[in-house]
Amino acid sequence: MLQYILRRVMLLPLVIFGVTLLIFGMMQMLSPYQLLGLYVKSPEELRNQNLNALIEKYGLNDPIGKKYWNWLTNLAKGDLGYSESANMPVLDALKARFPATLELALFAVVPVVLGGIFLGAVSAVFHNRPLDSFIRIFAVVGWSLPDFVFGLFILMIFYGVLGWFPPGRLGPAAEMIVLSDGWRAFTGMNTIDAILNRNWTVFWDAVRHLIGPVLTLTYLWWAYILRITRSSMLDVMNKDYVRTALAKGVPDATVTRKHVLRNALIPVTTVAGIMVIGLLGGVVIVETVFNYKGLGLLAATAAQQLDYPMVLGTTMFYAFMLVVVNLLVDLAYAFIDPRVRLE
Amino acid sequence: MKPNMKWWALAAIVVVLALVVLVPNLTKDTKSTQTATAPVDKATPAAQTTPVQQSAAKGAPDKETFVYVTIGGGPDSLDGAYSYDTSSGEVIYQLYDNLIQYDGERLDKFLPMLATEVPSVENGLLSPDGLTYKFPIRKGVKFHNGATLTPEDVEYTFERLMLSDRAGGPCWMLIEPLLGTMTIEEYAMQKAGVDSFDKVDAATLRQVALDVMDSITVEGDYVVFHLAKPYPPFLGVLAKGSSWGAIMNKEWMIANGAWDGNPDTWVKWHDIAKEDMVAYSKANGTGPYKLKVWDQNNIQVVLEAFEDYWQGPAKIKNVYIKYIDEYNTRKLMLEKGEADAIYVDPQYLSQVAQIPGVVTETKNEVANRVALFNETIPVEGNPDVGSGKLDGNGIPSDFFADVHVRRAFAYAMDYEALIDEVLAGLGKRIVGPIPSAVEFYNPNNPVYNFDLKKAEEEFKKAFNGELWEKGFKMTISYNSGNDVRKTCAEIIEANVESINPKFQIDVRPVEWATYLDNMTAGKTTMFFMGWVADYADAHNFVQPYMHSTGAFAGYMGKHSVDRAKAKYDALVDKGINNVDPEIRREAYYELQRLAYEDVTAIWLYEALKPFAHRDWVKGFQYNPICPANYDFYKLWKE
Amino acid sequence: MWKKLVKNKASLFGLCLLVMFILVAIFAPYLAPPKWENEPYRIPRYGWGPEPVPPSAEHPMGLTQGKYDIWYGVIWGTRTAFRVGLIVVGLSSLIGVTIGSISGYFGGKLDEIIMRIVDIFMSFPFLIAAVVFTTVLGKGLNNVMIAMITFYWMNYARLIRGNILAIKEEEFISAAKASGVKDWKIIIRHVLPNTIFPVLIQASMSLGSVVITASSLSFLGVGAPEGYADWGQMVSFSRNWLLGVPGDPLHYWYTVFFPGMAMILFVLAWNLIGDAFRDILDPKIQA
Repeated sequence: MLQYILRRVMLLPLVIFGVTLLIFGMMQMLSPYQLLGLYVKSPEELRNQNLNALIEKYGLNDPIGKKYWNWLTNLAKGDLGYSESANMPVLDALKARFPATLELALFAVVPVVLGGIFLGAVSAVFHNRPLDSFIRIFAVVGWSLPDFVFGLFILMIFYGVLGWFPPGRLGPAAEMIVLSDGWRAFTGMNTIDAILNRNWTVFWDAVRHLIGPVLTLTYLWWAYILRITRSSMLDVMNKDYVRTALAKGVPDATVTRKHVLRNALIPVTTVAGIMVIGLLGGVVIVETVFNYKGLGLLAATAAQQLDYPMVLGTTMFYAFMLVVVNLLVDLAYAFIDPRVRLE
Repeated sequence: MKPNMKWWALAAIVVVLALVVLVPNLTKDTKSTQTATAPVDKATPAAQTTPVQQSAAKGAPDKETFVYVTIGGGPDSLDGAYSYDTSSGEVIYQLYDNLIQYDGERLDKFLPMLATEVPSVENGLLSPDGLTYKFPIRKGVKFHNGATLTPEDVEYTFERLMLSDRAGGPCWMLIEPLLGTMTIEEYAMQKAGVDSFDKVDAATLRQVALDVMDSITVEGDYVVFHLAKPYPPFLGVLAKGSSWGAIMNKEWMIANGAWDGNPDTWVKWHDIAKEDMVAYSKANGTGPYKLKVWDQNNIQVVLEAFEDYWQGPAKIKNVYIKYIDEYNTRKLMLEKGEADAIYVDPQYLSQVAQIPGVVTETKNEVANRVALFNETIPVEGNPDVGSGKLDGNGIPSDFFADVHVRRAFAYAMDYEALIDEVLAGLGKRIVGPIPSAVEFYNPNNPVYNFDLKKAEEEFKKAFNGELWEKGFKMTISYNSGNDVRKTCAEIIEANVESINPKFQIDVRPVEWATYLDNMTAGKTTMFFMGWVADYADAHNFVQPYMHSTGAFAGYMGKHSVDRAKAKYDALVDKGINNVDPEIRREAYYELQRLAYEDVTAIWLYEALKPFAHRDWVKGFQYNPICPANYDFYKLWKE
Repeated sequence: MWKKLVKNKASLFGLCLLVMFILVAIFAPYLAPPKWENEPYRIPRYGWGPEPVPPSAEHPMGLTQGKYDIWYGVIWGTRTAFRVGLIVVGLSSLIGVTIGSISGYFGGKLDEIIMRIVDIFMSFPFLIAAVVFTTVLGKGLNNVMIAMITFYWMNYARLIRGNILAIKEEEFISAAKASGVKDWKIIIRHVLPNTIFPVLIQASMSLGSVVITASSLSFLGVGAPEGYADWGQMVSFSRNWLLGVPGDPLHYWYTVFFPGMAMILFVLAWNLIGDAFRDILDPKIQA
């Protein structure tokens, strides 16, 4: 097992190296003037700018090898470069934005997974009955909704009409508290920090701001978990040992709980793990709609503005995270499924 | 697997999860916000330490807090020697004061500010030859850190600025009048007689710094600027609203690691990365607001009233400038009263105006938008010109060098539809390069009006009638996302195509970065441009649009540059090198007439700037040259 | 199988929707005659101003922001949706299946290398990768498709590889190998027919989400050029009118309703069919 984990960790630099090469390769398709778009953002800004001096200054015309080498040497010093689109060093931007996205993802994972498993289980138990069809159509419609359309609807109803769940991360009052000197930022996640600071004003305000995006993500992602739980349950329900249990007269509910659900959860775990990654990367749109300043929004902005230190930084970060989460998934897999024998 | 293996696995999961959560925060306290505390600031901690609790209840706005929600990614840099964009200017405006200021919304009259008098020939502070400006410095003005303003602060501010001269930055506006070149590097190279800045020797570098230090001197309570040549817009360059005229505190700057005033070392601080500049994210000005925090994580700037401000403390005590690109969010925040003012795109102003309790206004802008022609288009491998020949399947390289073609296009533009429909009325026609708010604008200059008949006549005259016979095919590109530019191109497309079925125009969107690329390579056919004033003077507009070395000259082709050299350059120089308003007027009127006669561009419109705020916001005024949409010091809430 | 597909109410509904969309796509030139013969995907504008205009006899679905005809956009957008969905899913599954089956069947070093390359591509969040690559390639639908294929094929490669590994050791394969049948023939004759169904299910289900992703790119401003008949873009046109005017939140309902419904129904159709496919083809559930 240890060996396996070691191997996985050893592969990490290789994958990250490949990732950076790929990005660097892609960026080479751009001309220096195109890369300059990051520094000169509109025709109005051209004014008296000497474009060639700017290209020189930012090293946009350097050969790819040199650029890559510069980047690597800086990386060795722990310097990921400066992001023009975020207006701060890449590392600081990642550190600052990651907790926000993680907080959103964690808050979303709970209702998505639990709700999804519950609905999937109900759907499987009532296989091919009206309730099953209803739940499935309900979920499929969610899966078919474009996130930006649904997100805007949620914003319209719960903020525009009802005024309950505002966009952003915190309201001005709570923000004042967070920015004051007495506040200690432990994790950068507002809800957890609020608990640790014992400040309930901030806590509720943070939760209020999370509900909109979480609601959106939950409905959109339910189908995903539901589908896997359902088919996996149906799969297990047809297994001999379940039939045996049923034949022996064990009550339905017990069988479902003890034998079926437990075994059906194995693939669900894998998927849930991958889903965390999916959520971390897939919140781009939701973050845009709800003006939630997280990693996804950061990455998308950087990509649109061709801010390659930032693009490299985020992808590297994602690559790293992906490997870590995959590792966790495998561990969880081993934990849930006693039959797994890891070499 | 042994039974207790489960628990090991569980423990491992918990540990790794905890690591993932905490790793970004173990290194240091992650309030990676840039807190701006000047060293001496510790003396007045009362306002900072206690979090202000407030009710954001509907209809009962907190009168001391102002929330302004605009677009973009926030300021570029808070250092006046670096920043050259309106987002930065907007914040710098609140933090710093300048030597002089504009009189309210007027552009032609200055009032004293940190200088107690505005130099003029009448009061003897401006020499009659226009070369020496003397500013008496106000006494008793406090910086945010408690220091008192001295003439040396003013001297240091501008010397540092000129020597730091970042590539593409704003410093040319002082270097040009004071030294006579556009950049400090150019000045040094000229002095040393070399062709690269790297080759300039140490002695010359020292001399450059000494020259800079000689050009601005302190004489008692006065700061004196010694110009290299008369420069009529000089006061405009310095007036409040220009970030490059923001006065800094010498001692504090040096203590924080800025240039130390030594003529031998300035190159170390010359053209450095913006984040390495001292005033990038901290501020110690004399302005009405202190920088509480530039919170780059949440993309907002928080300002706090400076209680010792020399004109008395501001009524609005806390200012939040937030940057949110999503229009719906901004609109909802205004509707809920969570924002006191928001930025609105012109096309949505009518929506916002319908919200009860919201006031909308429009104000003039000193900026204009035009369509420029490339008169020498490279045809090699250029998809925009079709065959590259006058054969009906493309356009030749010198297509727009023919004045009849340019005139025909100018007649084919439906200016009324553009302003009334596309801009929803938020625009005004312009007559030439000089905007209406600027002196020497000629309201009676002739203009082209939408007239398809006349356009047809001109097309028939073009290329001796050959063009009309054969037709043409070309592409007009615009930077995608800019709907107004797109629509302008489509209006031209629809109208030109309706004149002759052999005329074909494609409208193609390209990324801004690519647009920039094509433009600098001179590959575009026609392109859309805008110019926002650096200072309110006609020179700032005729130079980029008409001079052969102007900002856009390189994109307009050789034919156009040749014509500029022959006809416009002398006039542009005449306008800037004379202090006498009558001589200047003559030059600028003639340039405006030529801009019409030669159709150097399709002069489209100048925009009216829309404003939307709650009706409880009082005291609103806007100076068109000012980068700040709201001058919070002058506002109060009721 | 066909019978089962038709018997299930949900999948029948999906099937009907799909047929309807196919008909709309085929008869687009008759339903909405193009204004420019050579640019049928360009939506005609009826005015230059920004504000949407409600449905009328002349424009049955109204005009959206910029006075673009919604009816025209929805009709021709159907073709765009099919094109994007089928090309992206088709090409990426083709690439994925080819690479995945080579990797799975031959195994060893080759498998290891291919899987590491797959890892590299999988390390990008799909949407962000697509945004990056589209921006680099330049705006436009073709580039969106290229970018999506580039970061989508791995899913199919992994899926087919996993399935191949599962059946590789089965007798009929070893038997074929022993009798000297060529590798590619074994793959095509024996391996693929036994492993392709999960890929087909996956393909039919992802067709919908591919269309959503493409429209998300339009929403983020890197997708189809302005005025191109694309549902995603038409929805994003409605974005700033969605909240209506004070007192009447549904004032501009038509700007989001028609293109939004078209997109939802299109995706729904594929998802329903995919769901049904899964139930039918999954032999374990049938019992």
